[in-house]
Amino acid sequence: MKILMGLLRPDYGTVMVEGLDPVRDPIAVRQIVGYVPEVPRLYDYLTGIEYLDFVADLYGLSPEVKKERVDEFLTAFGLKDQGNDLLSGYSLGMRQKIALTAGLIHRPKVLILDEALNGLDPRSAKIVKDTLLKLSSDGVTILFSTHVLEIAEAICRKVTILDKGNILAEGNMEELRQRAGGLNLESIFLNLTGSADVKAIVEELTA
Amino acid sequence: MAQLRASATGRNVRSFIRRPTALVVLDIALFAAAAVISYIVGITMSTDPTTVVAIRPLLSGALVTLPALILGIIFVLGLVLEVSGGSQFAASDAINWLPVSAGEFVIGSVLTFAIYYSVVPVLFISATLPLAYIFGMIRSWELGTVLSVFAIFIGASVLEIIRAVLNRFSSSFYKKGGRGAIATRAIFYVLLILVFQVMFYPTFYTRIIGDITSNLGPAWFIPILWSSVSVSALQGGNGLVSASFALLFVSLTGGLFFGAIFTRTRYWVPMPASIRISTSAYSPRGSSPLVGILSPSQLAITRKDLRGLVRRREMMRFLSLPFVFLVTSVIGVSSGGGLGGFQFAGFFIVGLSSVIISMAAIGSEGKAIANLYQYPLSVRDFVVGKGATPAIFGALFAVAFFVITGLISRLGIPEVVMLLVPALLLVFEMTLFGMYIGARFPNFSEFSRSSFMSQSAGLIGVPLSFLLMAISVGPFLFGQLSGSGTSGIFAGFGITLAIIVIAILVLYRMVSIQARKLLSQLPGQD
Repeated sequence: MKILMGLLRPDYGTVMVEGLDPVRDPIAVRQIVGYVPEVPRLYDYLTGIEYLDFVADLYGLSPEVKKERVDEFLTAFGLKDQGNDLLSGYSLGMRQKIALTAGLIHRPKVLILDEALNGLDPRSAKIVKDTLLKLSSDGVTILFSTHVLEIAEAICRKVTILDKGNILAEGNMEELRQRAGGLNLESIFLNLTGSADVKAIVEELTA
Repeated sequence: MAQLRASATGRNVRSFIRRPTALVVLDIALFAAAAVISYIVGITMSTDPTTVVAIRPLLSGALVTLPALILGIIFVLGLVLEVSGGSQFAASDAINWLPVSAGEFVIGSVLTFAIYYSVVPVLFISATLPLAYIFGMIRSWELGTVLSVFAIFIGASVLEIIRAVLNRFSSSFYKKGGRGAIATRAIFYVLLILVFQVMFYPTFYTRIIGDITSNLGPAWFIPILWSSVSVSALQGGNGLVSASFALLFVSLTGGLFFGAIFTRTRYWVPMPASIRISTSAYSPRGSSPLVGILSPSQLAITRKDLRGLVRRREMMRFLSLPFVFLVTSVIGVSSGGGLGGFQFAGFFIVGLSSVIISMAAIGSEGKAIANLYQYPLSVRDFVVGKGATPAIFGALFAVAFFVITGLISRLGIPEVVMLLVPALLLVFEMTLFGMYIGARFPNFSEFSRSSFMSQSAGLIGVPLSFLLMAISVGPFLFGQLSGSGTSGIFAGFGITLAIIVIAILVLYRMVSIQARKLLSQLPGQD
């Protein structure tokens, strides 16, 4: 994900994002990609609104568009009343909502999300999931990384299972079931990684 | 101890001296060194009867004020370092939910404080020991030393009380105060740092000693001076008064210690205050004095950094730097009229201030530097955006410095302008130089009281900046001081401007190249 964003140089090989090389042209890539890291590194001394205003300026949004989108997202995520509070006082979930807003505010063509639903309350998580589904149907490419397999199963059209840097399987849910057996993604994952039998470990931990 | 150990993680001098055992070893070494030097000085002075007559009252005064001075220094030092500590320093947050009582926390915190700042009293005590022995005041020294130890604990306890009360006060104040509260806090912290710096002026110090020793009689009711009354009474042969005030001082220590436990228990609020800056609806700014000069991205970074400069505790020492320089300069500047040497030193003062703030500009992003990598920010926007805040700050300081010192020195407007023009250009030059060093040797780690740059930055950057400043303003100063008349003055002025402009162009290119390297990969990924 960091290579896609041009945050990390690849040791070898190339990757293209919407026809753009993130190593040669990282700014153009970042203009069209929305990125939500696993741990949002926000500026604690800014308010939520100030941070979003800052991000919107970096994306070159006009004042009218900024106002419309910031108000829209803050209302949707229930942060309207906390918008003028410093980020230092935000909970993990609130910070995640701000990070999500920052990733979506410029209407990206590609969205890269790393454990984006961490800390979200059920209502906000539902909003994000439905938003991602809507964006996907509008043609936005979404790369979603998660260890919460129920979420991946619920919203992802295509799933890639990685283990120690190797692709173990790829495809939609039906294809994965045929390949690895199992009713749900969790059992498919455990079957593929050979870690289905955890009973002995649990018994040792609780002994 | 947790705070000490948490910061002793790296392999550098700073982390080494935060190890408790290392501090004890350091204290012993300093004690021995200071005592030896003081002994040699004392033996030398004791051979001259005139010197002996002059030294005795000074030494007597120093021993009388020793505990009070140590208390004052420790207290202000602790306050300043508490103030400039990073607000996100979380090593001790676990204390709030682990089974540690308020009493245990206060004991631990006070002991940590006493050990961490022990070098200050150790130096004073060891320096006075040989002199007291040589000049027959060893009893006073013994009493002063014992009371100094209690003074350290008084200072630490008072700091704990203030910390707990301020924490609760802040929580309520910030909820209501918003921008006003933030601004008040910034002003308070800057004034505090200013007081601390002025306290270490030699003339201020000797005046304090004189004032305390000459007014002890009427000052007996001031608790922090009970130690001084005790030592003074011992020197005057009044053992009963001495013992009584010593006992009162010790009781004060105990009282304040239990006061610290009480306030900790009652007022401590572990969760960070939710600070509301304003209640107005979001209204994106369409205009600013810098629109047209800076692009939207550059302006966004500048706004962010200016807010950080005022709101972040760890930036207070940078915010205070120009004020400290300005006040100490005003104290020192000649009021006799005409261009004095101090105005010329002002170039270096203004330049150094710009260098230090700009060297920290990039590292001060901390882990949030990731933001500048994931959004579409060009190298030019990065360089100009990050450089704007130190440049603006430096320019304002330069104007304030030369106008105020010019008024005091009764300079004419043309003379002030002649100083200001190269000074303002020097600010830009030094800002770019500082940014180059800061981009070359950044430190993004977020430990308490981080300098935001590596040790190499300080060791290389500051001396080099002086060299650069000397080369840049040298011709101007030469023209002013050489007595070569108007033509020499203007020639020097012109050459200096040319050097600075060329330096600005070269440094901008260097900063851009370094910034491009820095922005090619998120730090910490190697």
